[in-house]
Amino acid sequence: MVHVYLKNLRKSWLTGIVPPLFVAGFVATIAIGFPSLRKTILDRLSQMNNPIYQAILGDLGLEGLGLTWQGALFMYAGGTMNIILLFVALFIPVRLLSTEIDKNTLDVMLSYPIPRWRYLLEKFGVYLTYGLIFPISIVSILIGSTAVMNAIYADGYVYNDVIYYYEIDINLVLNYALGIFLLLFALGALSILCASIFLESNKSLSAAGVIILGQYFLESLGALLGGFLEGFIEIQAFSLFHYFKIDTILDGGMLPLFDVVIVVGVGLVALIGALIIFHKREFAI
Amino acid sequence: MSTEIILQVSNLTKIYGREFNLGGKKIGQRVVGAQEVSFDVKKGEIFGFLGPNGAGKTTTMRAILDYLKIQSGKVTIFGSLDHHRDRFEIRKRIGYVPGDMALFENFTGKELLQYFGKFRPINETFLRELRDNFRVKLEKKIKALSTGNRQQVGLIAALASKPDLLILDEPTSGLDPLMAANFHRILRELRNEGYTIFLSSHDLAEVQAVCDRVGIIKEGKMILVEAVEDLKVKFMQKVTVKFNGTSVPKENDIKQLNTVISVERTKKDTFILKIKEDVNELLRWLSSYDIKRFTCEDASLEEIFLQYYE
Repeated sequence: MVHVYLKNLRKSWLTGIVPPLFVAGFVATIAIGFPSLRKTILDRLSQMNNPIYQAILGDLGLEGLGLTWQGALFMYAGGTMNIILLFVALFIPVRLLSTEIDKNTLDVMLSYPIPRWRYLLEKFGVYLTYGLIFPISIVSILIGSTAVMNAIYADGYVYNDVIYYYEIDINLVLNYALGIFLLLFALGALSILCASIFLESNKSLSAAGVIILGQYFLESLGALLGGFLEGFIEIQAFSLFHYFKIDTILDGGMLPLFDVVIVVGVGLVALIGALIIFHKREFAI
Repeated sequence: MSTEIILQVSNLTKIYGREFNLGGKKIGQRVVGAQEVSFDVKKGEIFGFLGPNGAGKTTTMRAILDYLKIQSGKVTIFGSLDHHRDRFEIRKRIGYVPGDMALFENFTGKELLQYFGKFRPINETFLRELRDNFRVKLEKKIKALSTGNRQQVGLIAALASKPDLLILDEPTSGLDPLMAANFHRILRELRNEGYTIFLSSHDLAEVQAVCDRVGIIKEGKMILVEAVEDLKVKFMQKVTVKFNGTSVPKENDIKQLNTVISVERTKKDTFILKIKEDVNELLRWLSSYDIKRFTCEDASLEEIFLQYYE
């Protein structure tokens, strides 16, 4: 039985559901305001062609999407999701383990007959379970808001003499949501790897912060420096945030297999490493 | 007490940290936690593990539990189980109370017992007995309990499965004297039923009250393993010698004797000596002096322990 999983699932429910609900709420707000915000959004998209701005926010892969309802939704959903992902993947997995170290509750727990690797895996399972709320909520809110807008504004809207309808590509939404979940898995695995190495929350959070935030900024830095020297853009390949871009999903009609292999591979290696280290390591006084 | 050995520790060595020599300069720090520690605990025995702070008690306990990797030595539990290889099997049959015990604060005592009970089934009859003896309210959340009450919940949790071997690191710290006495009674009852208890303590009264044998560890080395009853007889005696007239020896001359542990001069012609083993050597040496008075008494257990602590 998965007693550790169930116990932690119950304990962490608030931490688990707040971030995805925040993203869903934010995207829903954008959806509601879209008819009146449309011009602002388009202006904002033109600003985002500025390489410095892109370097700060990261390349959201929005090229060609700006005029449409779909493009606007993904711009806000994607941007917000990346920021929230950063913090969720950084804090939740580390805290699942390091809180026990800081409070010393692991000492008693480890004297019970449960393999350590399984203990950690069940805890990581809690993170993944709450991580599932992200894709589910984002799919629900994107498809749901599109249906509502379609019902209210069935005739669409006109921009530069062209009629645009409130449409969204469900295949794109599903692939995007899957990408979000895989990214959450890989970043979380890196985070729990740091926790199993350093144990204490301060050290674990610092290490996970360097790795996860570092990747986020590496992606931005690649875009910034790539604007001056083309070779620099290659450094983005070292960032997990570089994968699963909307435009590449749109082009291929699905998540690029190479991206999936990279992200899942990094996640699996980090998770297996964390399980082995936690299972074999010693717990000094 | 049976002769069956439940816990056997042989030449256990644990060293923390590493030291490197870089161009004649030492880098890092190497701290000896336990050095070639050997002892055994028999079935149906309460074995007290004593020693000053930092002597290596907790290190030894955590090494037994396989929390620490040892450099050398062997720990065998329940006859043939290796503490590392068979740790999963061992943990089904042990109860552990750490020195600095912390429990899940958002659980009530009851929820905690239910949770731990899923890993090591609870003996419901014994749990009722424990609840009668400890007066903590298990319906309250752990975070709402005082330190002593938390300790009681931890003890109940460790004992509730009635494990074959209990490993207790200063189990009564934080308990009031009444609860401590109740706990000692429970330990004695468990011992009488054939369960084995390995406990560390700084409370010498507790050791005297419950332990059958004690081991004393100092600076990582086991310096003594002895039955509590034999300690007073075999180990220290307090001798008072009053010399006559001018034939008074020098303090340092007395200290030269192998069996003399300490010398205290109380008057110009009177000494209080602490002697280990027997007084034969002292008597032979004193025969060349003119003695006015000679008294010999057993030292108290506390004096004996403190002698080893110093």
